[in-house]
Amino acid sequence: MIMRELRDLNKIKEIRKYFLERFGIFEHFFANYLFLEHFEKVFLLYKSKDFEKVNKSKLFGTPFMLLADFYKKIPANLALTFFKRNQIQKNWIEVDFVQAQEFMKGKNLDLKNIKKKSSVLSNGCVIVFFKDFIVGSGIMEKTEIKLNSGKE
Amino acid sequence: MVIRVSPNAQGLIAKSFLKKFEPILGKESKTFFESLTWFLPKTIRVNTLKASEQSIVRFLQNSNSKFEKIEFLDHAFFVSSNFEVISKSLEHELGLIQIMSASAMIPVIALDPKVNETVLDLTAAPGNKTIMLAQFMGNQGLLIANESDEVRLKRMRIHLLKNGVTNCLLTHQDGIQFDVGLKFDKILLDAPCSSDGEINKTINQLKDWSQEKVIKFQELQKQLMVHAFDLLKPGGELVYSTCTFSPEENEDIVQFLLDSKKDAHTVSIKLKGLKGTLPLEQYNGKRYSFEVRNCLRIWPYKHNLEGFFVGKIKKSE
Ligand SMILES: C[S@@+](CC[C@H](N)C(=O)[O-])C[C@H]1O[C@@H](n2cnc3c(N)ncnc32)[C@H](O)[C@@H]1O
Repeated sequence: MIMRELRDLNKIKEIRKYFLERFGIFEHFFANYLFLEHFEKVFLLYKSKDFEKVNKSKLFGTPFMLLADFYKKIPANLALTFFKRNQIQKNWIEVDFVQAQEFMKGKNLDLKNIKKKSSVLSNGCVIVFFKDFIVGSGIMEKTEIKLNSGKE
Repeated sequence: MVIRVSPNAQGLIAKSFLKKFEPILGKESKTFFESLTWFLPKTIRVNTLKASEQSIVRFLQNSNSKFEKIEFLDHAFFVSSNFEVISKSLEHELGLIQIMSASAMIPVIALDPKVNETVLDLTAAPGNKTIMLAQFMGNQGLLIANESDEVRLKRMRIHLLKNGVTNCLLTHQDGIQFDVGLKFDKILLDAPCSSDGEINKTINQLKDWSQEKVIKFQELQKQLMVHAFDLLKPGGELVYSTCTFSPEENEDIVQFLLDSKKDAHTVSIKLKGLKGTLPLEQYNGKRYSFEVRNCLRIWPYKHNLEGFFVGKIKKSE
């Protein structure tokens, strides 16, 4: 199966709605991007006039994977690091340097050691900030946050 | 920036390499050979797709590094102390800074891609210049990064993702037959080469340097160069670069293109404050045409930077 443009408007709506409801990322953020799909993975690509002309069968892919699994709604961990802090309104936590390093190496975080977090915070995918930038995302289950499995 | 010089440089280098470059550089050859064991200053670049220059300056200050802005490059710094801290930092891990040599940034400056152009990086892995191309394009337009080695291509995908590149498509093709049904405004051909210019990394390789390897690369480079030129739109521009000192892989390749394509012309490359970059005028009894003089050579012994060759070519309208 070759990578192709996602044209199913319902699926596109579902992706935008997920990022809006889960993280508060406004839908207009995606206005300049095409969604591409390859199996259950969803990729982002800046819209350009020449994309239509590209012979899609010759493509290997695009770097920017947004969702590692469309159906399970697992965001690709590294892709989230592209968002800016002010674009994320909900389901975030902020960690210190040591916590960030340990988390990136795969160590789980305990919610009671987290000093700053968004007022809306629920089980599921949460974005992890260190200072002004995103170090990745985790899956929160009750009081524990595990590194997101959304491998690129 | 302070550099250390090894006194017995010539003992570390293949005799055939010394024999080749002595007549090319004459009086300067001794300093050139010595320079091949220098420790050159490390350099970093702000990834403007993800971080501001201000925030990275703050980070450098906090890491207690000695750093200095590179005069001829925007968003780039020489770092002369505490480099380990920087290379192992979260900022690097998260793609807020790139670690790449100053010379390696020059081909992208020369190509100068713009927002909304259609750009090809024909031999792209590991992707450092691809990231820089995306920065120049403001992550807009269409960037295609091609690489023939699948393992390197897969690694490059992660590298580009980590660095926040969103305007890029990847292809896995042999560059000499590359085709996706498009012609390009700008093309970077940062060619596979014998890599002797990357002296910080390859002093050991200079022991086993061989002219046969140079000639093998030259054949591939000629084919890549002609095909890259054919992929340009009329009025489009191509930058050819290598990190080798051998004229067979540099001036010879530009001359070969000029001789093969009547609509190919070189364009001069402007870099503020970097002098003494003229390419060779002749080699092996052959005089290069005047147009080749527009190309640029970086020498460690003159510029305190890794060896590089950069040529810019325009296709007539
Ligand atoms: C000098 S490196 C490119 C470095 C890259 N521009 C950067 O700055 O990160 C050359 C690359 O060309 C690839 N290569 C070699 N032969 C090729 C071919 N025929 N077609 C496409 N790529 C090729 C090599 O695998 C290597 O990754």
